Amino acid sequence: MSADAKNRSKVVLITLLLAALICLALSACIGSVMIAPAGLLDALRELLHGAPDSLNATLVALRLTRASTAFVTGSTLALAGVLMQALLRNPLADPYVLGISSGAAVGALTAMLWMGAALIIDLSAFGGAVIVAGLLFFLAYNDFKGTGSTEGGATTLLLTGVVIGAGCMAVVALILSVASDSRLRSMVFWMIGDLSATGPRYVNWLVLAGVLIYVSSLSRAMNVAAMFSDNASTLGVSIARLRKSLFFCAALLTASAVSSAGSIGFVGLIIPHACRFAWGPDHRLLLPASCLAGGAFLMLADTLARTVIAPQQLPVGVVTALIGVPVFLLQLHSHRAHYAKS
Amino acid sequence: MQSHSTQPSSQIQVTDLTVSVARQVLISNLNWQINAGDCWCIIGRNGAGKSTLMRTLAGLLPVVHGTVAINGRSLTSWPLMDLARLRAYLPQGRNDAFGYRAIDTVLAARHPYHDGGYWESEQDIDLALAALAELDVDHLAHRDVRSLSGGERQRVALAALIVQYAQCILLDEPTTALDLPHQVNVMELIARRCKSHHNAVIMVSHDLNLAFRYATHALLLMPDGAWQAGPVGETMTRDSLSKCLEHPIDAVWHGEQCLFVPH
Repeated sequence: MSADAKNRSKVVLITLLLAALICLALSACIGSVMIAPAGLLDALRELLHGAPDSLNATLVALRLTRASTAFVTGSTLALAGVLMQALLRNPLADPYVLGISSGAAVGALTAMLWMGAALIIDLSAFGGAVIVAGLLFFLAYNDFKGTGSTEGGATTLLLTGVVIGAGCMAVVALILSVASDSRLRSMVFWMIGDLSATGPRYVNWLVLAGVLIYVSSLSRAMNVAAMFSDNASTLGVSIARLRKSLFFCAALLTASAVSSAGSIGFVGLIIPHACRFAWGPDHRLLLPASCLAGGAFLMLADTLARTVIAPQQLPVGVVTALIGVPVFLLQLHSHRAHYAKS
Repeated sequence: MQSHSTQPSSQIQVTDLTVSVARQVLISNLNWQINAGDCWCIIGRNGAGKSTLMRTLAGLLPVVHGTVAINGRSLTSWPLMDLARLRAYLPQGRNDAFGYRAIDTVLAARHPYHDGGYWESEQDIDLALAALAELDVDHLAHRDVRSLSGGERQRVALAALIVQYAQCILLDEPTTALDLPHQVNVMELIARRCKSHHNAVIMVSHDLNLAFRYATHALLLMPDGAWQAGPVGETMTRDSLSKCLEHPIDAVWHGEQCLFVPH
C-alpha cells in the first residue's frame, strides 16, 4: 500500500503537470489574435533559434512570459495557502488572513502615491509585507513556542494578524481617499490583483523553488502536527521550530506573490481545498500538487481575463473569484452530501 | 516483526516535583519512581492536577520545580526524537482539523522511526493494520477520523500509541469514551504490555474498579496537594480513597473481585 501511495502521487503529479502544460499552450494560442497549434510550434521553433521576427512569434513570446508569471504567482499563492492552513491548523486560513498582504498593499500604494517606478512599487510592497510579518512574529511570539493548547491553533497569532490586517486596510482606505483620480485606477487594479505589467519573474521562481524544496523535507512533520497538534512533540516533532519555519515560508511566499502581482484572491484558499478534497490531506502529495494546480488555475484564469471582454482586460482577481466561488461551493456541497450518505 | 531496542531497566524518576496551575499548587514535592513492568493508576478529583502531571511527564509543560528523569537522564536533556521512541502519550481529548484517514494517524506514530524516508515502508503498514486489528477498529482503517464516534476515535488513538513502541506509556483517561467490553479489552491490553513487554505504564482513570483490577500501583492525589503512592493493595483502601475523593466509599468483596461503591 505504501507503493500504492507512491504510485498514486506520481500519477496525480504527472497528470497535473500535463494539465499545466495544456493550460500553458492554451494561453499562448488564445487571444485577440488566435494562433493555431501548428502556428504555435512554428513560433516556438523560431523563438528557440533566436530573435522572433514574425508576429506570431512575438505574440507567443509575450503570452508565454505572462503565462509563466501567472503560473509562478498561482503556485506561490497555493503553496502559501497550504502552509498557512497547516500553521494555523485551520482549513479556512488563506495567505491573506494574517494581514501580510495588507501590509504589502500599504507599501505598494504609498509608493504609487508618490509615483514610484514599477520596481520601487514592488520593493515597497515587499517591505510592507516584511514589516507586518516581523511585527506579528514579536507580538505573537508565545504561539511560536508550541506549548499551548491541545487545539494547537495559534490563536494569538491569528487574532493579531486579523487586527493588524484591519489596521493596514484602514491606512489603505486613507491613501485611496487622498489619491488623485489618475492614480486611483492603478491602485484599485493593484489591490484586485493584476498580471498585465510583467516581465520575467526570476526572483519569484527562486523563492517558490527554494521554499517548495525546503517544506517538502518538513511534510512528514507537517502531517504529524496537523493530526496531533501540540502533542506532536511527543512524536519527536519540534512544534516551535516547525511553526517558525512555516510562518517564515508562508510570509515569504505571500510577500513574493503579492509584491509582483497584487493581492489576487481565492487561489490560496480554493486550490489547497480542492486538492485536499480530491487527493486527501497528506502534505507529501498536497504540497507539490497544490503548486501545480494553483499555477495551472491562474494561467487559465488570466487567459480568460484578457480574452473575455477583449480588447479590454479584466483584472485576474475578478476572474479567480468568479470561477473559484461557485466551483468551491459546489464541491463543498457535494462533499457534505457524500458525507451524509456514507 | 521488527526488533525494537529494549531497555529492560526503563524507569521514570520524579524528584521533589511541584505541579501548579495559575500559581495554585496542585501537587507538592512529589517523589515517585515508576519501574518497568509497573502499571500505575493516578486517582484524584477533577482539578487535582492529574492531567497537568501527565502533560509535565510527557514534556509538554515545563518542569518548574523539581526534576523528572527517564532512564537517569533529565527529561529536558533528551532529544525529542529519542524520547519519542522511549515514551508515548495519549492525551485526553482529540481535535481533528483535517480529514486524515484512521490508518494515516496510526502511521504518523511511526514518525520517530524514519528520519529520512518520505513514504512509509510496507512493514509500517503491516504494523499499523495489526494494531488497528488488536483494538478492533481495522474495519475503519480508511474512514475519515472526523466521521468516527468518540469510542472508535479513542481506539484508533490507542492503536497509534501501540505502533510507537515506547517503553514508557502515559495514558490520560484511556477508557473514558469506550463501551464496557472495549474498556475491559483495553485494560487487558495495557496490563499485557506491562507483563510481557515489561513496559512502564501510567494512566489516569476515574474507574476505581477497573483500576484496582488491572493496575499494580496507585498514586492518590489529595485535595490539599498531598499525595500517596504505593502498591494498589496499600493505597486503594476505603479510608485513603474516601479522603482522596472527598466522598465516603465502601469496599465490597464479590468473590475474587473488590468493588468500590460510593455511599
